[in-house]
Amino acid sequence: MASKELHDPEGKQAAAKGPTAAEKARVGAARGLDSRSQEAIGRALKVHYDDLVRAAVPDKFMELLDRLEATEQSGNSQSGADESD
Amino acid sequence: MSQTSFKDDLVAQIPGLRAFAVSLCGSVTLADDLVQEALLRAWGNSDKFQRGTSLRAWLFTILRNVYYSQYRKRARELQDSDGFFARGIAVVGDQESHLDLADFRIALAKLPAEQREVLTMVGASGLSYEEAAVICGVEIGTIKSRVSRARTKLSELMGLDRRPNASGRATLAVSPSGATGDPAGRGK
Repeated sequence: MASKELHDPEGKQAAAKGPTAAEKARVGAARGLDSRSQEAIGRALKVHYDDLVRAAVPDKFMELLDRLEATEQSGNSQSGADESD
Repeated sequence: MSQTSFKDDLVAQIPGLRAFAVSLCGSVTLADDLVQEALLRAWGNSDKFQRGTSLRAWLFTILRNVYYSQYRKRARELQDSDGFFARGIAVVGDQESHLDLADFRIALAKLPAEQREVLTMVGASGLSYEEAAVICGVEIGTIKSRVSRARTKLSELMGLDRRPNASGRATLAVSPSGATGDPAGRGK
């Protein structure tokens, strides 16, 4: 399930255009890596990450936060003012 | 203090937090456990979050601490248990080079965790060197050197030449499925 959600070839072109590619290439060149290798790595890194960011988020996280919020609200109504800065 | 707005802020950070977690531990399943624990801790310590500072950096710090304190050993055992690395999509470059995402992820997973995490932070998630330094509790220079070593190591792992070869290309063969681009219907 997760792998299906995480798979999103659409938009990979946009993801491939990172503003940091040139910077990475410069840094890499200084370290002895050729710029094209650096660009390829930088691009792959962005695609890797953006692919993950675009993945559907499981409902369980929202449910967890809802539960935490509900618990806190019921706790506050019992204990009264418990404000700390 | 509005916990509801804090909750909304947390929700907005979840996709990036998951991406960082997967990059760190190499397993989507384990990453979700990490994210859940990080969200729990963030909620419980929301009074310690300084408004106006980067919530993302704060959450990365928490998740990272969870990983190193509880999950690192498990991550080694479970890495790619969900076939994360096998999922290949072609990373097509302009015209000069291309890497296969599955190959890249396998190589990324072989890096030491402290190199992998900083490379992910500054190379993909958009955090600054300064933020990464705070998150990892080290000097900026250390972050820079880790990033540099990570890139060099990745290059070696993926068989990219340190110098341009005869054709001037840094090209790595992609998997057969990825070589021809996006097969019809795959993304639909």
